[in-house]
Order: sequence, then C-alpha cells, then structure tokens
Amino acid sequence: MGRQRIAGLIFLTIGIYGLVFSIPLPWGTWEEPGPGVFPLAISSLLCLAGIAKILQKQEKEAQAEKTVMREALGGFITPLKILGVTLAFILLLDRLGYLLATPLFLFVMFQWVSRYRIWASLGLALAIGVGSWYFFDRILAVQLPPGILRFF
Amino acid sequence: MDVLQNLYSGFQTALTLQNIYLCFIGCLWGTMVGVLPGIGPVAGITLLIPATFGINATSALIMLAGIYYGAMYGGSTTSILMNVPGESASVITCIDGYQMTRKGRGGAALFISAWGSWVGGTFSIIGIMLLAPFLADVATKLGAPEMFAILLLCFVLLASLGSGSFFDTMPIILIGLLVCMVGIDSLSGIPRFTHGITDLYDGIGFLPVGMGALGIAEILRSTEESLVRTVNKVKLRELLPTREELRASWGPIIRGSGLGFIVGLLPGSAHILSSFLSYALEKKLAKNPEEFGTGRIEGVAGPETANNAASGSALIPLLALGIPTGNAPAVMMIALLIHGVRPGPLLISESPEIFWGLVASMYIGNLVLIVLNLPLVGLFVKLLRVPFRILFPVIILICLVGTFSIKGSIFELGILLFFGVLGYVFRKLKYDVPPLILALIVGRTMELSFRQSLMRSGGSFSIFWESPLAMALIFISIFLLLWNIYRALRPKKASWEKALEEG
Repeated sequence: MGRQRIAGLIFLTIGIYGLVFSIPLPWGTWEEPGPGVFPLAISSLLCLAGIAKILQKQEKEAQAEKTVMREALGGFITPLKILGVTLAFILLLDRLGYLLATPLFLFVMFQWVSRYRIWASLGLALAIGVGSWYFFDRILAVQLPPGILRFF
Repeated sequence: MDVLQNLYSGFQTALTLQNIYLCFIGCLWGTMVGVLPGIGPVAGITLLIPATFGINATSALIMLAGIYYGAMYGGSTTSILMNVPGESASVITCIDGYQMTRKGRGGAALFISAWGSWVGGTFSIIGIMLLAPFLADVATKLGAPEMFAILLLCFVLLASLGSGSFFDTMPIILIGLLVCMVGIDSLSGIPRFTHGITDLYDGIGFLPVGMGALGIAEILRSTEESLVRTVNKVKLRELLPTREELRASWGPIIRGSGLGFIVGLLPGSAHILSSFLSYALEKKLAKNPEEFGTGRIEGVAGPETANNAASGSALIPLLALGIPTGNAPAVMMIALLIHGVRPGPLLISESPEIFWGLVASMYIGNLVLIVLNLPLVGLFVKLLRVPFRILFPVIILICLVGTFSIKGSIFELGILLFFGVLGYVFRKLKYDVPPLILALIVGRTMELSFRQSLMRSGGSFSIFWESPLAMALIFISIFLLLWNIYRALRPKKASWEKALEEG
C-alpha cells in the first residue's frame, strides 16, 4: 500500500469518527447555527479528502513507494521502543512518583535504546533523574507527582 | 514621534536586569538548539515554556523570541562547517557554505552569515515596529465576517505555499480544525467529542498537541537514524572575510532583507521558502551562475539574511492579528495564551509594554547574537560532541514535564503521546504537520466568526459580500482553491512547477 492510500485511510477514519459524533449534535438554523454545523462540514470534507486519496491514481508512485515504505518500516523499531518506554513511564508516573519513575525511565532508555553499559546507564539515569527533579520541583516549583514517596 | 516614544518606553522595559538576562538566555539557548541538528526552534521554545511560569508575560515573550531568532543564527553554523543543516531554513546554506569550508573559508562564511543575519534581523525589527501597530489598528475595525475571510484565506495560502502540495496540506488543516472542536461549545454550552471525559471539557490543550506533533515526532524521526553521530574537528582558519567577499555579499544581504521580510508575512514555512527564493534570486542575478555550488559567498549571504528577516516579519501577523503563520510563532502564541495574554489587535493598545518591550529586546538580542555567533562559535561547535543518545531521552523528559506542569494531569501526557505518534506517522507519510497546530489555535475563532456572522445577518450569507474586504478575501480564497484544483487535474506541469516540486 502506497503512502497516499495509508494517508487516505487515516483521513477517512478521522472523518468518519467526526461524522458519527457530529450528527447527533444540534445543527441549529441558518439564523442561529448550532454546534454541530462546523464539525459536520469539516468531517465531510475530511472524508472526501480521504476517499480522493484512496482512489487517486497509484500506478505512478506504486513501485517507488513500495521501496520507500519498506525502508520506512525498517526504521520503526527504535521509535517503537521509545514509545513503549514513554507509555510505561506515563502509566507509572502517578503511582511511583517522579523521583522513582524518572530514573527508571531514563535507565531503560539508556540501557535498551541507547545501548550504554549498565553502570553508565545507571549513573546517567540517577544523575539526570535526580537533577531534573531538583530543577523542576525545587527551583521551578512545578508540582510533580510524589507517588509512593508521599508516605516518607 | 509616537513610534520613538513607544520604543523608548520599550527599552525601559527591556533594559531591566531580569529582561537583559532572559534575552541573553533565550539567545544562548536559541543558538544552541540551532546548532544541534534534530532540535529546531519549535522544540527549543516548547522546552523552555515551563521555565517561564514564574515570570511575567513580557519577560517570557522576550526569552522565547530570543530562542526563535537565535535558532536562525545558530542553524547556519553546522550547515557551513559540517554540511548538516542545524535548522530547516539553513538547508540551502549547506551548498555554498560547506564548499567554502572545504576551501578554508569557513570562518568567512560564518562571519558573513552572522552579519547578514544581523542586518536581516534588524531590518525586520524596524518593519515590525512600523507595520504591526498600523495593522493592529486596521484589525480592530474588522468584524466577524472579515475575520472569517482572513482566516479562510490564511488556510488556503498555508496549503498553497506550504512545503507539501495543496491537497496534502488541506486534510491536515481539517484535522486541526476538528481537534479544536473538542470541548464545550462556547456559544451553546454543549460538549462536543468529549465522550463524558471531564479532562476534555476545556478542549485539547495547544501545548500537548504542539509538543507531541512537533517535538516528540521530531525526536522519534531523528532516532530512526544511527544514534551515534561522529563530529569532525573543525579549524576556523580565518574569521574575517576578504574585501572582495565583503563587496560581493552586500547586494545579497540587502536583497535578502527585503525578500525575506515580504515572504515572512505569508503563512507557511516562510523562513524556509525565503532562503530558497533568495538563493534562486542570487543565482539568477549572478554573472557566473555556474559557480554557485562551488563556494560562492552570495549563496550564504542571501539565504541567511532572508531567513532571519522572514522569521522577524512572521511575528507581525501573530502580534497584530493573533494569527500565527508559522510553527514557531504558533508555539509562542501557545506560551502567551498560557500566560493569559491573547495576541491580536488589542495587544499593542492594551499591553504596549509587551509589544514594545519585545521590539526593544529584539534589538538587544540581535547584538547579543552577533557576539555569541562570531567570537564564541567554537564553543557551540563543541556542543555537537554531546551524544544524541544521551540528549534524546532528556528532551522527551522535558516535553513530558513541560506538559504535566500546565495542569498537573496525566491525561495531558496521553494526549502528548497520541499526537506524538500522529505527528510521526504523518512525517513518515511525508505530510507537513505544523498546519495542524495552526488550525488548532485559530480554528475556534474561525468557527465563532462564521456563526456570529450568520447570527448577525439573520441567516443570510450576503453578510460576507456586503463587506468589500471580506468579499475580496473570499474571492481570492476561491480563486486560489480553483487554481490548485486546476493544477492538480492538469495533465502536464510547467517546467518551473516540476523544478519547485523536485526542489
């Protein structure tokens, strides 16, 4: 599947989502347009754009794009790892607290993604994690989640 | 006289110790993010937004603007010395800048680049000073139909002049418009697309979307390449240009200032477009155009001046109309909104200290940048030795903390990650993401203007034709739309269009 078709599918999906949830909204009248008018118009245009992209002539780009897509897929692994670790960090942040979750997040990043040696990863994670906590929490007074450390 | 008096009061604001310090920090950080490939001005500004929470809006804007134009200065350093553009507007500088380095004239290229950036930057500040108050004055007289027409034209221009094709950019703008519909409708009080989630009642925040779709997506894209990057040692043999180089660079610098200033007013990637146009112009005017690409100083002077002039003039629509025409001004608007300041026609009259303080600080910032970018250039080159595999987790962490610090909500972090993935996917599919952010920021104003116009006219669309300005703008929008449809359907394209697309 070429990039235009993938993009078309994304546009169509978002457009259908917009249509489904804007149809129940009040449309109002011409004198007083309701909150549903604009989302409905935008979603319809997005669906049209998606369909146009899917139906667009693909043969010109087909072969070249297949190669491009294959190359693009090859580079997905590192970003996927980063996304996974970041998602885990977001889920754990409130429970563990910033001071525990951040060094853990950084350690996994340095060890698993950046491929540093274990002691280097540990040292960097602790230094940056604790340093960033001091900077944000103590100097900038950002309210960071204390997590389980609130009991200490 | 008014302008001089206002500028004087602006200098009184900008010349406080705190503001000078913040201007310096902004310029320093801006140069650093400009030098480091992979972190552009957008990421640079978003990363420092949390640091502005403890200071007032004027000081925050002074610092963030310093990052913006500082990144334009710094972006040329790696282009010239390493053939790696630190910032997208400096891509074209690689061509002749790096060839000059290979000939041992890298120092001269850096000098002319910094000098041209200073001239272009100063030219655009004078333009901001003279044009923005006039434009804001005109804008206060605009009603809802005119505002709707301006925003419609802004989106059509954005799609026409952006780096992608019209029909690639338009769906991205539509997605941005749809995202801004999330939340409680301000006219009727009815929630839209909230699915009962209370975090969505206030709408989707600009910052998580901006940081995700621009910052996180950029980092994810950068990590696809090798995380280990080697930096060559660079010798700056001679920093001062020869008399011949100085003479040859004057024309491109003057032309680049004017061209960059005008292009900067247009929506889209103006600073990138201006540098490409300036290079094309200089090549066209050159006696020996075939020498371009072999290390001509004109190929550095023109584009570097133009992108700085464009980045300055891009602040005019933001400050005078409240319409950010590029991604960096959009992030600056987000920062101002967080500080409770809404850029627009009333900003200059109601908060003159913010506008004139910023203008005055830009004069100071330009001087600071000349000092930072000439004698201290070696220090910035050393920055490139910080391994990217240490840098990227730290940048992600700052994005996460920056987003969390606004509302203290884990839900916002989820939005950040979602838009990070969406932005990354669109980048992979070669779609331009910044129009999404611009649409998100001004989308609600556009909807409100449309609905208020119809309410005022009792449902008659004639309100859009009754105002000459609204009619003219809508006519131009329709013409551009039809022109783009014609271009897309036409079987053969002109040679200049093919060249532009390939470029």
